[in-house]
Amino acid sequence: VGNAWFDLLKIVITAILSAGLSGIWVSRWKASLDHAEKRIDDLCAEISKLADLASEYWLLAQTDDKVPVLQARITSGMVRMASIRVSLTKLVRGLQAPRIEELEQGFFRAATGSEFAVHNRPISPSNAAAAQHAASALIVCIRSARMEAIQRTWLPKV
Amino acid sequence: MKMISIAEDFSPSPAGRTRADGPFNGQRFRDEFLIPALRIAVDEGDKVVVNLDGAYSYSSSFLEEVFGGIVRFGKFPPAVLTTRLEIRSTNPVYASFRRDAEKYLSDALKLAGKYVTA
Repeated sequence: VGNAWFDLLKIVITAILSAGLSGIWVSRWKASLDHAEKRIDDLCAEISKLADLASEYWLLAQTDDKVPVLQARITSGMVRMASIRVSLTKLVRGLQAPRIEELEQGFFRAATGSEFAVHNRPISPSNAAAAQHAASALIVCIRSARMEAIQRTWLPKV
Repeated sequence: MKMISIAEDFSPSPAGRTRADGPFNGQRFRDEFLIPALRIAVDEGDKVVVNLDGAYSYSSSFLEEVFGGIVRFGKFPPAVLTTRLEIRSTNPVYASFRRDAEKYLSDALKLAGKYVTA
């Protein structure tokens, strides 16, 4: 009788431990997924914000009082955006894909190329629009990379 | 190998194309730093490496003025620019700036090639 109770106890303890460990594993997995989603959202929000700043910049004359600060916000935002993307490459596969890097470079060029920071540059609605288009293309590509990464594997990257 | 760090040797916040755009513009970096260093490198059979790491940021227009401008105004044969000039970044955050600069250089070289052969 004693042995039977002992065997039963072993089974119950094993079951409790397994359930506990599985729970921890699943919550860590969910936490890593949520964290990646949140950081992807942050990255996309940063890109949209930068695109809006760039569009505002290209629709103002270079002599406007807002321009010096706008320039600084745009260029510093580009480094912030690249930093977020690089830090996310450890969590999300695909963010180092050549296509995303190419689109990021294209966005930088659309936002700050041409006559950016040039003292007598003309107002440019076409550059303002180009910044929005380049940002959209980049965001779509980042979201697609995230979806592909989720579909490719069920395992957490914690 | 001559190494030029834009952030340390020139300015951590380079901006603009010409001298009228501010003190740390692309034209000034090209004419006062890059062209003299490249001339010495050519004489000595050496190489110039421009390091982009460490700056607060770059605008694409600054990079175009430096690396597109070196083709247009540097008076170096294309072969010199392809073999003796290297653009480098070790920090992955600056990789897009490096690619942008390399693209401006290669695009300007292609354009210069077209003018030569036409």
